Amino acid sequence: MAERIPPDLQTQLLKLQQLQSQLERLTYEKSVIESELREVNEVLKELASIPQDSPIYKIVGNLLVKQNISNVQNELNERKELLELKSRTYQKQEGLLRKQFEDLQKKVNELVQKYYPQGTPGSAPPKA
Amino acid sequence: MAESNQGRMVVSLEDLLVQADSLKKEIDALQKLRDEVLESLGAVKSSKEALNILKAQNKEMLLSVDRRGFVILKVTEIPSDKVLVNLGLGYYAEIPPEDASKILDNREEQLNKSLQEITNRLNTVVNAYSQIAEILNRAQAQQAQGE
Repeated sequence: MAERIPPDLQTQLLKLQQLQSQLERLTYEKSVIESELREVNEVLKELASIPQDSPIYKIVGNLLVKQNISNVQNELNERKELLELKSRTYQKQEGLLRKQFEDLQKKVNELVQKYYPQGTPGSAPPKA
Repeated sequence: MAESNQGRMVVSLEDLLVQADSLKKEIDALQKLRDEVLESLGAVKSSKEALNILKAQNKEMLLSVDRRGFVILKVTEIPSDKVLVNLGLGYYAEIPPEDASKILDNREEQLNKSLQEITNRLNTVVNAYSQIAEILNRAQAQQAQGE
């Protein structure tokens, strides 16, 4: 008969799963921010390399609306600052979550060793 | 659960199946990404070709108004001193074709670099997946023999 996992181990495993999904979501969101930041930097680089009197247009729905190049650069620089700030925040959060995850992983491993000293569930009865 | 057995690592078939499933998902995602990059590369190359044709333009050209070519227009003398090029993020710049070509060259270079990275990663993942698949096939064969 299959042996039931001890409640405290089950609780910690559930927490570990939740932390893992949080970490995955955060990593994904951070990668989205970083890819947008790369794109902003790329556009700023292109804008710097073209003649400064070049007309610039922004696509709005199905329309191309004429813009001033310096306004566009200012707008993109503001966006860049905001994205960099977000990226730093995500990095800090990721660091904290990763630390929590590693600590909890250690805890789970200790509990596994405590309840299953032979290394596999079902090989020994759980200690009280 | 993986456990150590006299200096060797013992991994359950269940763990291998989970790993194989995860690798399969990554392979699918990477293949999709590679296709998208290849499509972008094709678009950049055709834009560069169009710019070259514009430079050496004849007096008369045929222009398709749709992708399938259901309706084609006869166009005479397209002004080619300036073109609109996509800079990204929905911004377009009206610049001489030479500058547009430089931007497209740069984009092509970046896309080729991305393609190389994706291909390398894909090869690594496919190799890992093949190894796990081989182990699982062997285990299945042994199980069949045991029965």
